[in-house]
Amino acid sequence: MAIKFITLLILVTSSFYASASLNEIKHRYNEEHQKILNEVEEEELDPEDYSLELKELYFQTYQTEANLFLKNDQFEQSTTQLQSILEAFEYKEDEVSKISEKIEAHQKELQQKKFQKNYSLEINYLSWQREIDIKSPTIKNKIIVTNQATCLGGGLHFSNAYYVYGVEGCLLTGTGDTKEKKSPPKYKESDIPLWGIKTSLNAGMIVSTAGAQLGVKLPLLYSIQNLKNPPDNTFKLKEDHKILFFPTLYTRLPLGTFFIQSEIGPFLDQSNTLYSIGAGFTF
Amino acid sequence: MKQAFLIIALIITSEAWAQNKVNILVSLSPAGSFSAVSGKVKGKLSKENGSFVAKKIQLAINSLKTGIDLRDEHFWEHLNAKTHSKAILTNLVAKDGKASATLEVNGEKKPIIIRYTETGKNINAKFSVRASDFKLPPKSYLGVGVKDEVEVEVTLGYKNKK
Amino acid sequence: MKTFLVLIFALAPLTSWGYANFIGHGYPSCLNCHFNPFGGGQLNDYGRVVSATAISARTFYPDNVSEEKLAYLSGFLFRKPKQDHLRLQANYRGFSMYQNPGSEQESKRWITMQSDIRATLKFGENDKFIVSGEYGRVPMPEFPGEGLNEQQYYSRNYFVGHRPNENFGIYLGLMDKLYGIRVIEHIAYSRSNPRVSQNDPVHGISTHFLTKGWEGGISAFVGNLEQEPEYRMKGASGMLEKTVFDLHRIGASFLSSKNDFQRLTSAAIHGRFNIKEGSAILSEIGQTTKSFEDNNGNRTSRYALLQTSVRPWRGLYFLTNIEYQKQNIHQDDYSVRIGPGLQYFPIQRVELRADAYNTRNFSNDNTRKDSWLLLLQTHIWL
Repeated sequence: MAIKFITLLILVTSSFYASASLNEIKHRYNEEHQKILNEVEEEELDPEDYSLELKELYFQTYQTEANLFLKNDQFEQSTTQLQSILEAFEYKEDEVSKISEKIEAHQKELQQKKFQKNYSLEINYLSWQREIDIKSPTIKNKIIVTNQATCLGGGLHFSNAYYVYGVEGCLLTGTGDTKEKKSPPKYKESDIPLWGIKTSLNAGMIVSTAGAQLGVKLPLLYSIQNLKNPPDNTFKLKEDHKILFFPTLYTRLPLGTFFIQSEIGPFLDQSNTLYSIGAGFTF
Repeated sequence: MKQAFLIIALIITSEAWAQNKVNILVSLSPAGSFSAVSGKVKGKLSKENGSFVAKKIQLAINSLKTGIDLRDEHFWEHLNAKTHSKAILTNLVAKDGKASATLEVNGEKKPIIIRYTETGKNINAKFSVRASDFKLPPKSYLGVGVKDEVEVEVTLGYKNKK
Repeated sequence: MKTFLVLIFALAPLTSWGYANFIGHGYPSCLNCHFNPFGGGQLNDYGRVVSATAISARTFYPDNVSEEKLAYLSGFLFRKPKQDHLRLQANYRGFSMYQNPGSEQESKRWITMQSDIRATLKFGENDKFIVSGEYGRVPMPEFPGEGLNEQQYYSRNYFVGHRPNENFGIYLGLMDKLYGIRVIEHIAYSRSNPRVSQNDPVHGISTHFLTKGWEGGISAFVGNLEQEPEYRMKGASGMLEKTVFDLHRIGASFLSSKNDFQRLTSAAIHGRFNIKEGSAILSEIGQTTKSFEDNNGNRTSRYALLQTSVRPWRGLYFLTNIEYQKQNIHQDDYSVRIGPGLQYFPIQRVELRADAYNTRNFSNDNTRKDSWLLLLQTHIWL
């Protein structure tokens, strides 16, 4: 019980000391304090006019408020005022400067951690391949369709100075080609129209103050493309992979509000790599 | 709720600080350039009746960063930061896009003319200076030298005088 | 192998020739770091220091080793040179090459791409006079032909140079042709199409000029004198770049050469963009026309390159290479090669690099699986 009381007493005294220091200044040196505030505003303060005791009191208060902020993220408006006063006093300049740097660094860190929302509009060229089963009653083969498309869309992103998270979507339109020369059947179709949508979730790192990004996307690509069955009526196409879903790596490099970006993945099979190159702008 | 308010106040305050920036574009010989950047500009810029005034604006030399640590050290050494740790602009008076002030670097004071534009609550200023005007000797490192003339861009927030 | 590849790319975001992407460090001109003003070849003292203090990581150095100390250690003998005239450099570059890993066509081999020693003699104020050259092993082909079983040695670069002032220089010797961006990837379409890759140096004379906003040069050459006269490609080339917004470079190049059998002309435009803190974008688009004396096989090809280089932290670069090639502009077929790369400098003098390339052919004649190429490179220099 006694220990608790003593602890509480120390805590209350400490908090009183912090506010007592500023309050103490206002209580003991009210006239001087008001005069100092005006002189600092007008940039007319003469350090010789004030006692060492007063300057030290300002310094101790500044130090206490700085420590509170660094520990609890509680920033008092008076801290800025105290810094201006001490700089005008030119009192303990090196120490004041070091404390100021710590405060600024912490402020910057807190600000950099804050997420902001932004939007993007972009256009991308992408290409991917699909393997499609083609079978007859006795034979089963695969054919490869190579697709390329333009995708127009945008995204919503949340980013701070370190990370970015977002969601993107675009409508795509393009064409595909397929030609199988060797295996039965000999099959060819060119410029097969396709359209679809691509959406993705992305998470990345911001790796430069200019905003260059490096990260991972989870795109989901759904395309509609009508291939015709081979004319001999023996073989039929089985289209069961209209949805592509796999992780990709991406980079986005800004040039002002514009950016260029690239995406590639998943590198798991030589016939399903998706890649995309595009440009856009953020707002 | 209070914490959210404090954080907002903090961000507003630091936004005001964050507007202040100095960018020094240094050209190299035989080729190349780098920027030395600092956000730690101290001083008050006031606006009254369309004119801007500032008694003293200071920049700590060793707050300038070039992107390469060794280059930072050499740059501070070139500016003689150990002896004269600050670059100081005094008696700034500005109106209608043109300003005059006295710049002190390496203990040397020179009058300068600055062109500026006003954007929101900030002024954006540009001017060129020669290192030799401030008795900074020519500097080179392993055959790559720093050119005498540098371009300085300054962004400063201001307050309206009551 | 598939799992290994996935792991490489999953972990990537978590950790010669000149490196044109180092414009991202604020050095648009190769002359800052190389004796050859157009890049590639031996590093000068400043280039060694930049390599040690800006490009390489300092992970393995204790905190009490200062940047100045790292700069001091960057010399050939791990110290600052004690004389001003002779500079030496030794290089080894080898890589494991995997073609179509994980497939039935998988092949694997180790290639010693480069092992040479370089020397430069320099005299005069601001190194006005230089004599520079290199000598080393010829990379052995996988299946050496008759008479090529023994290891050969050669010099692929040697020249004398004079810079009367910092704006102008003239160079004479065996050098790479002056054209386009000298990306380190010598298999790049932008290198192979106009034939400016690692085995295409020529004997000739080059001029270099540099002003505040412009840099460029013109070269005239008589082919590689090691070749039989009828095969030597003789001609001229030039390159011009302009600095924009104090950070970036845009430029154009031309090249015209011929021998007794063929003529080659090429033109390109390019851009190098500084995204700051070591990140950069390189781009080049060009067209090459090859014509033959018998007019059989004449064709015009087009190519494009886009390389992005992102530096998450000191010593580590994440690259994306995107290339396009149309071997004959009168046909519909074309190829796109794309792939990520990781370039890591764990300590000065050491580079580790992994590149994956996916090549996709677009053809009305056939559709086939993409081909893969995985390159794991080790580069060490003294």
